[in-house]
Parts: sequence; structure tokens; C-alpha cells
Amino acid sequence: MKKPYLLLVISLIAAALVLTGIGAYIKYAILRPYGLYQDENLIALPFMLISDKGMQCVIRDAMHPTEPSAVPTQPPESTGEPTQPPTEKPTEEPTEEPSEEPTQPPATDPPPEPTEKPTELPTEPPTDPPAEPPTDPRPGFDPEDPEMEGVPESWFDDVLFIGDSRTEEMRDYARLGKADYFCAVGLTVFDVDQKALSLPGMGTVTLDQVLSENQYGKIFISLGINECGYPMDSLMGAYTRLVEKIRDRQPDATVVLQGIMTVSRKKAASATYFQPAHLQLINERIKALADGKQIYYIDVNDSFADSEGYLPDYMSGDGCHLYAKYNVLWADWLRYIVKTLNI
Amino acid sequence: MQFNSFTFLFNFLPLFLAVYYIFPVKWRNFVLVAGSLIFYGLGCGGNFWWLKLLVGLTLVTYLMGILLQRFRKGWLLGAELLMLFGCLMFFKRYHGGALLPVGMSFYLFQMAAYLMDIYRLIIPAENRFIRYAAQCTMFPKLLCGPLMEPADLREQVRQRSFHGSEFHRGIQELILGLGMKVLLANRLGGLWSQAAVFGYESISVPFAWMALLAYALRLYFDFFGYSLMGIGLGRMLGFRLPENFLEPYFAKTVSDFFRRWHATLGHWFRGYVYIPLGGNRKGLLRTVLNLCAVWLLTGIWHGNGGNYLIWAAFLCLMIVLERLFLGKLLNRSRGLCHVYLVFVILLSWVPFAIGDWNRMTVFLGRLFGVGGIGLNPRDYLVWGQRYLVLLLTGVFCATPITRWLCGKIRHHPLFDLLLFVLFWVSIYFIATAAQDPFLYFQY
Repeated sequence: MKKPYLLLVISLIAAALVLTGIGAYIKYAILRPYGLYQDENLIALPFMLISDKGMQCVIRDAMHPTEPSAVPTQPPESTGEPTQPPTEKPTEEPTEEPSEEPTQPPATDPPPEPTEKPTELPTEPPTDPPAEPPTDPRPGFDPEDPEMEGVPESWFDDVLFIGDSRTEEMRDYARLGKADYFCAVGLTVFDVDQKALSLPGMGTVTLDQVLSENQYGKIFISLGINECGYPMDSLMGAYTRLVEKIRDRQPDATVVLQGIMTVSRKKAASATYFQPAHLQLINERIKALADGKQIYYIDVNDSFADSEGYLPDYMSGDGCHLYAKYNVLWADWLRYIVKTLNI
Repeated sequence: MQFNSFTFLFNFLPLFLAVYYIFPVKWRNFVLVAGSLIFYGLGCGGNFWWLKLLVGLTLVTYLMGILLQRFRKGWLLGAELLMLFGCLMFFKRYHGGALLPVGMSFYLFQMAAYLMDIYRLIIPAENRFIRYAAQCTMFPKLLCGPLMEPADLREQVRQRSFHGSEFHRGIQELILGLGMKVLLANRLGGLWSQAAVFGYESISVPFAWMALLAYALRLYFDFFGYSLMGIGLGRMLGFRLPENFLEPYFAKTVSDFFRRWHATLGHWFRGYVYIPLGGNRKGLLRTVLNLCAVWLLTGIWHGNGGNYLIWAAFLCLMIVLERLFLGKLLNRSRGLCHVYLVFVILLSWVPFAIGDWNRMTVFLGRLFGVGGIGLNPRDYLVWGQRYLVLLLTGVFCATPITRWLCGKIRHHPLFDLLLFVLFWVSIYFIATAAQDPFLYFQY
């Protein structure tokens, strides 16, 4: 056996050992006292820590338990201490005795489907449930009804939408007026103020740039489905910081918080954090941030969800995202609800 | 247990390799069987009857082989095959398909080939149970092939040699396969599922074609990557497993395509169905009928739904047409061949991918601009921009250039460095799968 043959094997083994060591250090030395991420694979941990802003935030919150309701009045950047952006390496923080354990074992990111299906054929295509042609696509809200006609689209000309893939889909299939859309697939409250997004017509921009370069009349936030598996306090801490930041940067803008749209029954069965009850819990907390004067709360579930709180099957192919055509309905509903609430 | 899982790559594989090579050569088949059963047991997700079924069928076919050798009767072979395929059909049809034990279609076909070859006096029955069990259960090919010639398999189980260079090449193939699956297949799948998320009636014509191309590439890299990982693993244990994919998308005709796509399955059907039925030697009508028989079985093999029969019927029709006159016509121009092949194969994946008849027709309609509600005729721009690099990489990697290139630089130390990086990037993507914006059903 010649030497070069061994090189690849040895380097792979060495790297694996090093990563396992780092993973073990993170898992046992840093995270064990907090009971966080104890089910994760050792080798996966270093990678997750690098990429997962939510995980960083959860760890930092666990290490520095602060009262989540105490929201600083200054923008996060101006001071360092209590509201460091979640990119801060949690490992650098001196560990303190936590005053309270996180009540909820943090799920990792909500991984929607396992990547691999244990079917006998790897070639098997994804099995989408057949979509029944809807008989009545308008639960509780009828855009045809003149009584329910909302504000004109031009109302949205000075609106900024901040959202995840659901909002992105609405941008592409049911754009409202000349609104700006700061949204991306997988966007969360944890990384929304750190990511630079490449947006049509706006170039590659961060949220800070968008907020400082434009003046908006109303700002809509529709985030939450990607991060609903994280501990509530970390999630709401980040959410609150986002709202505060927006209020600080755009004091004249009205902020409209959208409750998290629920998922289908089948989708909800895949994880407890997708259950309508859990999403409802988060929505209650979001709602509590609204004051009815500068910050409003709206909840599309009032009109879209079925009697048990699930997203109806005919509205979504994957149980989470609306079929393109129902984005038009969502947009119509938005026009209606802002009129009703007199925003 | 999938080859691209952490448990397999970091726990099972290193441990197994260590044990496998610590034991002396004459014990290695035993280690292989034991390891493979553990592999299968860990992967059956609590359905331990799968494991019992595998062990049971291995034992039964082992005894059948010996019996068949002693009394070489056609009816005996018939009864044995009936039992095997009856088993397969039972689990496919009456267990709703969802409970079909992982890998069953593959290992049953391998067992059937073994029995038929004993009957045809190509190989003698294997007397040592462990050797036979190693043939049936070896984990590199247990879950999805490749299917092997029984004689070749038998020979390799009896005697195989170990070379450091082959082991090294095995690792290279393992990493390349992993990369294809994780970095290409899984991510390209995101574009395809996006079409379903929007609803087929809403997507634009270019989006529909783009999504279909993504599906075709995903299917290819998924299966090719997995096969390549299997081949690599086999090589690390001293086996030479046959190639399953030979740049199928660069074939000239549909029949050529299926000599290069999942080649070992095509080979199996050729050897055990088409040629025993008379192949193409009994006149045109019989040839056509034989082709129909092969494709009917291929359709049934691939799955439970009627859509697979549509898929198979369409391909069978094209192959018959090629045999009748289309082939001569196409032979005139290389470019024409290519356009024809890619077009036909892309179309054929539509019924393969979409099980529901209504949705299938809606998607087909969108491909040709029929129907639909045209919410945003420019939706392909956003998604095209997002997936352009990935699609181009996929197309490039599907060309024969990559194989040629890999062959050229395989021995260069820098190639190993590249693979080292590729491996850890793949692991990064597996570890952070939920973060990957391209992965299926991300939000």
C-alpha cells in the first residue's frame, strides 16, 4: 500500500475525530447544564452552531437568562449588553448559573420532512396528495361580497412586508400595489436583521439598509412558522427586538403583526410545534405586543383556518404554503382587514 | 439506514470496516452477513418483521437452490418463482405499498436470478449457507442494487482480493456519490416540489419545463449517487459491483437510454424475461409482444400506481416505434437524436412523478401552454435565477465529461483534497438540512 492512498482516509478520520471532539465539548461542557440540544449528533453540532442563528440565540438566552419582557428602548446596535445580535458567539460568553431552565426542549429547526424516505426505491417521486378542486374556496371571507371590499391596492404603496416564503409567494403571485417585500425562504426572527437578501428591484440589501433608505407608512411582519419549534422565550425575545428595532427606525410607521398562519392537519401531525394550539400560543404572545394605536395585530386564521384551526387541505399542496391562487385571496383579505381595523 | 445518514457514515461504517478487516479472510463473509443484518435491522424503523422476512427468504431460497440442483424440474422452478414473486406482489399490493420492506424488490430479484441460473446450469447451487447469505444480504447492494449476475456475485463472495488502491478508490466513489445525492439531488428536488407548492395550474410554461428538468436531474443524481455510494462501499470491501448509470441523458434513443439508466435492472429483464421469451428472434410481432411484456413488468416493478403503467406504456410505445422506423430516421443526425431523447424522457417523467391523474394532465397542459390560470407569467425569473447555477451544474455533471475528467484526475493528490472538501460540505448540508433553503418543503 502506497502512502498517497492512505492520505485521504487518514485526513477524513482525523477531521472526523476533531469535529467529534468539538461537538462533544459543545454538547457536554457547554450545553448540558441547560439541557439544550442533547439529542443531536456530535459531528452535526459544530455545523449547526455555525449556521443556525436561532440555535445561537437560544443558547445565548439560556446562558444569560434575562427577563424577556424587558425590552430595551434603544436600538440594539447602540448598546452592547442586553440585546446583542444573535450572531454573537455563545461560546465566548462566561457561563453563569441559569436562574431558570428552559421549559421546553428546543427542537432543532423545524425540519419539515425527513430528507430521506425509507422507501425501497430512491427514485420514487414525492407523493403529493391529490388536490381536490375546491368547492368553496372562501372560508369565512368572501372577496366577491361588496360589503367585504377592502382598501384599494394603492393603500399598500407605502407598505413594507417582512416575511418568509409565504410572503414571498404572495409577492410573486398576488403583489399588492407598489409595496416593498423584504422576504426570503426560511427567514426567521433570528436572522431577519442579519441576512442580506437579493430582492427584485432593490438589489442585495439588509433590513437595516431597507429601513434607513426608505420611509414607510406601514410595515407588516409575517414571520414565525420557521422558528415555531424554538423555545418560546428566545423566539419572543427575538420577535420583540425586531419590533422595537422597526419602531425605532421608522417611528412614524404603523406596524402590523400578522399571526402565524396555521398548517394542514397532516402537516401538524408531523411535529408538536406545528399544532394549531402551539401556534395559537405564539400568536397570543405576538398579539400582546400590539397596542392598537401604532402596532396592530391581524390573524388570517380567523378567516382561513377550519373549525379545528387547521389550514384546509384544498388551499395547500404541502400543508404549509398556499397554492398560488389562494395568495390572491390572502391579499384580498389583507385589503379587507386593514379597512375593518381602520389602520 | 441510508448511506447518507450520520449513523451510517460515522458509526456503522467505521466500526464495521474495523471489524471486517480485523477478522481473517475466511471469516469475512460471516462478518459481512452479520454486519448487513445489523445494517438492515437498524434501518427498518422498528418493523423487525422485515428483518425476519429477509432472513427467512434467504434460508428458503438457499434450500430451494439445493433442491433445484437435485431435481432439475421446470415445475419446481416455476413453483419457487411463483412463491418469490407472489411474496413481492403480496407486499406490494395487499400491504398498501407503504409497508413494502425496504429493498425487497431488489433482493427478491437477486434471489430469483440465482434460482433461474441454477436451473439453466449456469451456476451450481451454493452449498455453504453463509456464502449464500452474503450474496443476498451484503449491505452495499441490499437496499437498491445494483443487481448482479449470479455467477459473478458467487465468484466474488468466494474469493476477493484487497488492494489499498481499490479501497481508496472506493472512498472516492463513496464521497462522489454522497455529494451527488446531498448537493445536487436533494437541492434540485426543491425546485420540483416548488411547482407542486404553487399548484400546477398557476405556474408559467417556462417554470413547468424548468421544474421538470429539475425533477429529471434530481431523479438521476439521487439514484446514481446512491448506486455510486454502493459501488464505492463494495469496493472498500473488495467487491466489484457493476455500474448502474452510464450517462443516460446522453443516449441516442429510448432503448439506448434504458441500457444506461438503471442498467442492471434492464439487464435482468433482458436476461430473465425478454430473451427466454424469444427476444427478437421470432419475428416482428413476437418481438413487439416481448417488449410489451418486459415493460409491463417494469411498470409493475416500479410501483403500485397506475401512473407507472402509463409511464411504461409510453416508453414501450416509443421503443417499438424506434424499432419500426423511428430509429432509422433518427440515425441521420446526432443532434436530432439528442433533442428527441431529452424531450421524450422529460415527458415520460411526468406520469412517473405525478400519481394523480388530474394533476398529471394539468401539468402536461402547462408544459404546452394549455389551461392554467396564469397568475404570474414571469414566475420563472425569480426561481430561474435562484436555481440557475444548480441546474447548470446538474446538466454539466450529467454529461460524459465528468466521468472522463474524474478518470483523468483520479490519481492526482489535489483530487483527494477536493473530495475531502466535498465530503465535509456534504456533511454540512446534511447537518443543517433544515436550514437549507432549497431543500424539500422548506418554508
